[in-house]
Amino acid sequence: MVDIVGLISSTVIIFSLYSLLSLSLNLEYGYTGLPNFGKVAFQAVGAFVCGAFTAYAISFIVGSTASIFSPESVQIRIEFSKMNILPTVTIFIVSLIAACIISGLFGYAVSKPALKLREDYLALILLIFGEILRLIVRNYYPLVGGTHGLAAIPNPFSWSGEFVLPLYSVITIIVTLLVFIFLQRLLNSPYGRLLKAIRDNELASQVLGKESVRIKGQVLTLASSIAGLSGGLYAFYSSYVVADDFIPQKTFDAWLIVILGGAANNKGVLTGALVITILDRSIQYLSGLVRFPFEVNYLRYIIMGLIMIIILYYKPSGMIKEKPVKTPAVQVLKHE
Amino acid sequence: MVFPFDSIIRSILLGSLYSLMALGLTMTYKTGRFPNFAHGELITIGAYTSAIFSRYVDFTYASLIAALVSALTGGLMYILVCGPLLKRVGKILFLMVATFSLGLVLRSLIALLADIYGVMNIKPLFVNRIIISINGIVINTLFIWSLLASWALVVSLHLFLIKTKLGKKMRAAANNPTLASIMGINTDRMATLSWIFAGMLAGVAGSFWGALSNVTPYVGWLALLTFFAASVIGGLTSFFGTIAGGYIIGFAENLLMDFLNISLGIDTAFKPLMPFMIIVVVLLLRPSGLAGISFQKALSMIRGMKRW
Repeated sequence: MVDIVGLISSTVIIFSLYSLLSLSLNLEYGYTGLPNFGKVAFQAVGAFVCGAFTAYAISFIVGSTASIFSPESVQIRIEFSKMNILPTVTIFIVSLIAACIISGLFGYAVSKPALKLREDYLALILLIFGEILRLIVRNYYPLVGGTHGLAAIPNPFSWSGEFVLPLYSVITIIVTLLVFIFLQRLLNSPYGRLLKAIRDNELASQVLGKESVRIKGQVLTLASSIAGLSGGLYAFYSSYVVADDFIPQKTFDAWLIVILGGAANNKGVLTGALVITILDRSIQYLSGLVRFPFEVNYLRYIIMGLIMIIILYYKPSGMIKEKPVKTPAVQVLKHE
Repeated sequence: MVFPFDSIIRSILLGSLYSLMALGLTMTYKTGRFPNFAHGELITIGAYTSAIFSRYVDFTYASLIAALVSALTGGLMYILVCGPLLKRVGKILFLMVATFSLGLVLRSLIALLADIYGVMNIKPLFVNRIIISINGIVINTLFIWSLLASWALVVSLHLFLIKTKLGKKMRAAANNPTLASIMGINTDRMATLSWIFAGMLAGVAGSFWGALSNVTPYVGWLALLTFFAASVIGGLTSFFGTIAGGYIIGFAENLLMDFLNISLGIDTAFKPLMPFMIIVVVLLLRPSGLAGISFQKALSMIRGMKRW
């Protein structure tokens, strides 16, 4: 008997995590033209913040002095989250907010020096930023345990027994929808048109008095906090964070979704996320049926990389093309 | 007293390998003005080829075979993926994403095959004899060979680019493709040639790299951002800037790191941070790297300072 509920809810969670990360990349790359090759760094910040905050907060509430990485702390966290509903949920919400804010701050801090650079240099420096962050966290023990990682980050619904995953999937999909609606509202406005103007011709927008560097900084900050949100949700889902989880391949996944679905089109990005989630899940499912003589992840990356190259060559605009910004003015024009 | 000499020897060895790798990156960058994120995989392929062939033939021949295989892969990369994409789409960002995915595909393919055949972590058969050993300072065959090979390659490449007609054509095509094609140079063929040369350099570098450390499917990828730093120091375009960059990275990663480790107690696990920091600093302060510095100007500046 296949666990249908578990399968569906984990698929929904993975879809939401992919969607959140890709939506934030779409805001940067699709709308504003910022080639963020270090997307994973901002997701990582969210995950680290959530992991460390939750662990320290529970240790503080219980009054335990043991290191948060020790087995007894792990035991304390598991027990605590099963017994105390309200504190666990509160910690969950507070740490997600903290993850958003701190990731946003990171995005802002990076944007200050980096945004003056040319496109390819910007991509390179963001990629390097992600690697620097990973390397530091990997070798700095107190934050999330260096190479060993931080285990047993309690899911906010641990108390619900077998309903953990379904409840959590509902939360993640609601968060994703909220972010989606927020981005749709934000981008179908004069602001969205401004972003596209900067993307298409930065010099012209500057001539018209738009401070492009400042606006790009805003975009990077906002997108980073969304990425941080996805990282936080990921940490609570996998209940384990380790620095080496956040490798550039994750950035690649987000890029694939955005380019496959259609840059500068949030609906396209959701479609792309759905396709990649289904692909991901079916490869996972297949690996359960057939015994491959190799690790399945390699096959997954080969397929994804080939899809990316083919899409770039044959249909660089993606599955759903970019649409004009739907401001009220456009609707008035349509009616006339 | 081992510390400075030991580190200096290692710095020179790694520096020469980095400059070989970075030279290929610079050459491919000049063909289409996009950084090739799949360059690391050319090194991995070279390392694997030489490691596998060194079991059957001498390491020298294995290196030559590695250079050939990597050169072929480099050429195919351009002919099959980058060239058509450059003509069809032409957006630098797309090319970067495409090379990134190409690297991912090749890396995963190598890992998949290595997993099947059980060669996830191998070493080439290379007899590393000690030539000179004074008070613990060891100079071995690997050091001599890689230094000789890298300099022979660099010098012959330089002579080829400067003296021969084909080399001149290649430089012309890289500097100004439009003008070159007006003069009847097949810029596409020249670009393919650049990629083949880049693959060749990467293959030789990878072969020695494998003898130095181990060969895994990730050697090239792990080295990629490090020698990217060398290329960035050269402004991604300058031939000599890149070579200098390779040595700067080599020394920063070994001599400077060892110095910091001994004097300040910084963990050597932070070693990869050195090239990353160099990239960040160079890009933020002087994105054109050493490429923009004219030798004459620098000389006159130094002279001026002296007088003052």
